[in-house]
Parts: sequence; C-alpha cells; structure tokens
Amino acid sequence: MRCDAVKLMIDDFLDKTISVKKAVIVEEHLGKCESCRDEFEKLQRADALLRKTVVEMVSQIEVPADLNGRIKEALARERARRPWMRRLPPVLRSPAFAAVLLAAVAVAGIFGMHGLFNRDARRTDVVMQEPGIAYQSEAGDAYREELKKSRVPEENLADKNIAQENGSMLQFDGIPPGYGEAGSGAGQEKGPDSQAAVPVRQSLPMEDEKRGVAGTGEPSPSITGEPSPSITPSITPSITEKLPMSVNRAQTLKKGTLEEAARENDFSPARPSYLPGGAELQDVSWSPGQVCQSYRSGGLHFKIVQGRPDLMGFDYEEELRQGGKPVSINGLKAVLQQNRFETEDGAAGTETSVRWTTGGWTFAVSGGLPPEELIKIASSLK
Amino acid sequence: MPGEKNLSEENIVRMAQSGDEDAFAQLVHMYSADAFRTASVVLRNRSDAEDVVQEAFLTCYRKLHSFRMESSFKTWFYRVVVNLCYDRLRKINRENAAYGRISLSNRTGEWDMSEVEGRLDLKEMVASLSTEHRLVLTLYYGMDLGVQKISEILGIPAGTVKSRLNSARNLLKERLERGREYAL
Repeated sequence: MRCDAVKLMIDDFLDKTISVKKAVIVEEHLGKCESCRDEFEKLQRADALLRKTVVEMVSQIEVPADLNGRIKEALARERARRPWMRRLPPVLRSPAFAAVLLAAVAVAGIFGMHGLFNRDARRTDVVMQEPGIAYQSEAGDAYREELKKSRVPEENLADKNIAQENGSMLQFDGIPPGYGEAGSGAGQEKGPDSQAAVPVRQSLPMEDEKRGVAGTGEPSPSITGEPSPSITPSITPSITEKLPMSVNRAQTLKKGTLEEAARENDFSPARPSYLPGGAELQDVSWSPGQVCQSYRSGGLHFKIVQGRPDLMGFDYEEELRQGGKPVSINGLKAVLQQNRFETEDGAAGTETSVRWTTGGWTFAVSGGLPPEELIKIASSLK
Repeated sequence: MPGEKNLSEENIVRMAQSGDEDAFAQLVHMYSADAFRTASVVLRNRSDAEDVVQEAFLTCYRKLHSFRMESSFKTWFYRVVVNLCYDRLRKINRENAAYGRISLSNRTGEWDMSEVEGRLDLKEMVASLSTEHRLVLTLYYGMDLGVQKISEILGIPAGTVKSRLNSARNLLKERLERGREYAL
C-alpha cells in the first residue's frame, strides 16, 4: 500500500472509524515504513495530548451542587402547570394524532374559510422569496414551519393566542421543535425573542405542495372529519392563513423530468457538473419561472432552485445584513446562510444555503451538506 | 443506534414514558452533570449552562411520549442540549452585534492561526477554537462519544466530525513539530 493512502487512513485509525481489515493493513505498513510510522506517532501523541487536555478541562468544570434539585423543581412546576397533559390517553398525545388534527383543521380551513382569509396574491410573493429550506418531509413539517412564524397579522392575534394555548398540545404532541426552538418549551417560553434568534425561513412552495398535503401523516378523511369542535374553529383562520401555498401553488406546480421542465419553461435549467459521491436527482418540480431540482446523497438532501429574480426575492445586501456570509461562486457575489434546525425526534442539523443572481436568474443551492460541498456544487452549475 | 442502546437506559425511559416520575429523575441523575459540562464548554458561562440543562430536561420531559427509541435517550438529550446552546449563542450574538460578526467569521472558518499562534498553554489553545470544534472535542474526548454518535447529536456528517478532530490533531502536531512543548 502506498504511503499517501496509509496517511489518509491514519486519521480513521485514530478516530476508531477504520475497518478491522484496513487497520491490519495500516499496522502492517507502519511496521515497515519509518516515515509513516513517524507521522502516525506524532498524530497519536497529539491525540493523546488533546484527550488529556480536554478531559482535564471538562473535569475541572464544577457541577453546581443543587443542579439536580433545581431541575426536579422545574419538572415539578411543569407537572403542576400541565396536569391535563398526563390525563390524555396516549393516542391523543401522539404526533400522528396532532398531525391528523392539524390536517383536519387545514382542510376545514381551506374549504370552509378560504374566502374569508384568502391572501393569495400577497402570500405567493412572500412564499417565493425564500428558496428551499425545507427538509425532511415528516408529518407536521409544514405546520412546524408555519407555527414558528411569529409574525402573525394583528387580526389573527386572537387566533394565535388560542392556538398557543392549545399549542401546548399542538407543540408538544405533534409539532416537533424547529430551528430556534431546540425544544418546544424553550421556544414557547422565550416567545418572539427566541424566534427572532434565527431568520425564520419559509419553505419553497414546491416543497410544501409536496409535503403540505401528502406529508401530514396521511390523514384519513374519516378521521379528519372528527376534530375536536372546540379547537377547530378557533385555530382555523390562522392555519388557513398559514397554509396557502399548498393550495395556491397546487395548480401551477408541476413535477416531471428536467427535460419537461425545460420545455415548459422555455429555458434549460442549469445542471451541476459536480455532485457529491452517490448523489442522485430525486425529482424536479417547477412553477412558471422557477425550477427546483431535489437531490439526495446518502441521508442528506440538497436542492438547486433556479428562478426569476422577482420570484426569488434575493437581495445580496439585505442577506448580508441578516447575517449571511459573503462567498464567491465563480467570481459572482453570493451569500451563504446557515441555520440550525431540529426534526421531530430531536435530530439536529444545519441547513446551509448559497444564493446568488446572474444572467437574469437567481440560484439557490441548499441542503444539509457542508458549506464547501454546496459551494462546489453551486460553482459547477452550467 | 439500536445496536448500541443501553438496555437499562431503555427500560428507564420506558418507565418514564409510562408516567414513572422517579424514572425520569434517574435520567436527570445520569446525564445532568455531563450535559452541564458540555454546555459550559460551549457557552463559557455557568449560569447559561445551567439554564440550558434545565430547559433540555424540561423539553425532553414534555416530548418524552413521542420519543421512539430510534436513538438512545442520551443521543436525543444531547441533541436538545446542543441545540439549546446554539440558540443561546445566537441570542448572545444578537445582543452583541459586534461579537456576532466575530463569531460568524469563525463559525465555518479554519483555524485562526494568528490567534492560536503564540499560545503556549494547550488548554488555552483548545479554548480558543471555534464553538463547533470545541464541541466536537468535548463530546469526543471529554464525553467519550464516538464519531458516529457525535454526528447524530450534531446532525452533521461523520466526515465533518472527523475533519474537526483531524484538524485539531494536526494543529497540535504542527506545534509539537516546531518543538514547542505544552505545559500540562
């Protein structure tokens, strides 16, 4: 085995992520190659020093003596505050139930209150401004996105309050924490403050169309017709207000191949000439003037959205003011944004997006890949 | 991961899920100290760290019924702790815009060599690393969690965890090669 190949494996060896087979190869090589052995020993020493240092640093942190006592007090207060929580039968506490309930609310809203709360025109623009920050299409995802928005129009405040009161159930029982939340309780208690901590992202309408209806835990019509009557009407308006894209965009959003997207849009969407190992195009969706390519690479997703600037609402200076980082894509000024998010079972991740405008198009490449990878993909678009 | 699940932890979690408050208290005893230390490393503030640990337990308590044992409770709990830490950092950053810029430039950044250069104390060197690097080092060396677990906790690819570990090791190796010994 060549030395450079072995050197690459030394890190895995130290991280204990190497296969037994490879470990044997590395060990054999180290036995006969002095240069590699020297490199290995230095890294091993650095590893040991780091371990010693970090262990010492961590163990020197004194844990407050009454930490557990205070946590238990907080838990007791929590129990006293939400005694009803424990009385609910498990089925009513399940995320699936909450998803079904929300779906019922949405359906009721769409068909019953649509006329009253329709804001299509304005909403469409807003929705189109933020390219895909959507992630796993889990039940309740769309709702989670929507519930996170603190900017509820005044006329809906009453609804919001009611929704929030019920929200203890909505949030804890089905609506997993989102980015800024990292725990629903935290998000709720900190209120607008914590929400403002992260730029609230709206997901791409295409994605929402995909998830908004299909992703709500497959509600069965027979169940969705039976939501709690005391809850449904009260939160319907705000939910309706918040879920227009699944309805509004449905007529215009299409799915198919890149070729079809190109044909129907009168332009050929740019394709990446670089893709991370194993990445595959999952699907293509489009609405007039905008095409979204969704890729999957192992467990990670990323998306490439190309759209007319007026639909994408990308403003370089504004993005920077909001904490974006300037990067260069083939010499063009682009903005890198990173946001933490958390999925239903608490899985955390970072959503990164790179956006820029060139030649009458705004591009957005976003996903859970490391920034370097996204930039590489972005730079390879042709 | 299912294979790595600690059976006794799983039993405790199931008991807690069925409403056994003592079982949940046991989880608090098992993880509060390490969570506090981890949060302290990230936040560099004891009071913030304590708040975060408390919030993390409350969050897990509220959502316990929806926890499906797809990961270990520990992994889930750490995810919540880490996310709350990031929330708090963002809040601090927002409150101090100037600091926010510094943090942002370090966030994805490489080692700030000029910062590290000239420091002889290894602990200071570790302390001067970006939040993400400190966190990975703390979880890996301090909490003895493996690369895969850390990648689950942080929601980042295992390769990224490894590259953070490797860059820390390489940084130190270079320093050692230059003949500068660290006083430990």
